[in-house]
Amino acid sequence: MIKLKITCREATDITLKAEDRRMPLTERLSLRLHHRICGNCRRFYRQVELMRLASARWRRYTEED
Amino acid sequence: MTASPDFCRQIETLRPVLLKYARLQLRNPAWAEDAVSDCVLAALEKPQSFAGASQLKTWLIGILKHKLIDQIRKNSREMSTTASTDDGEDLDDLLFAADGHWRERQHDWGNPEDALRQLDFMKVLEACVDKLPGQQGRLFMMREWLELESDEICKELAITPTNLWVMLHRARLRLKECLQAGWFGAKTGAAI
Repeated sequence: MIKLKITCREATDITLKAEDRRMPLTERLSLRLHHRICGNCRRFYRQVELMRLASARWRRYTEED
Repeated sequence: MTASPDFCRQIETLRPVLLKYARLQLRNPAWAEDAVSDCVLAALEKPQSFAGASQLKTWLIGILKHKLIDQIRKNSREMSTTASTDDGEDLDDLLFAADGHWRERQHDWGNPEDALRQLDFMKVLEACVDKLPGQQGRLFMMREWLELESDEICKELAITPTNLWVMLHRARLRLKECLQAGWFGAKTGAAI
């Protein structure tokens, strides 16, 4: 039986790891389930997305005049 | 072909900028100086490769990135051995209660473009990256600024993927807290 119920701390770890490696299917499913019931983790997920976009924008900013 | 005095002067004016990013990446003033010197020498030795099609800064940063990777290779052992001493506090324990729930409400940062289009936000982001502890900062920069893949970073520094993820996890959480305090929380007046 795979474990699909996760805590916010685990959801955070899964969300952050996904920035640096492919997210396994079980983690993807458990995160999806967790997001249904947790506004904090939904907002955190969007914060991480923003940081990803911000890093890319900053990279360009450092290269241009 | 030798570089003209004017070309030398233009490169010299950009030296502080190159040094800033070299320090951000390497977290060591001496290594940063070496990387920038190698970069400037390479630029002066082959001015013909600067076709003028790109901006001078873009061209120099491109060369610098290669020199920074050379420095990382050269000093990788020292980077790994000093890594654990400057790690900073563990944010996970501060952010999460014993039952694994967030201690504090996570804030809505709104539409990304609202922040991203502002130069001041870029400056806050840069300051937050600068504040990351040594090895966390290096790894974050390797990933996000040098755009290296995780397995390349592990290979260059001879660290395990798990070790890399732990360090990047900490770096990204720290960055999030810093952006909340320095930008999103400061702007909306929300409690941090």
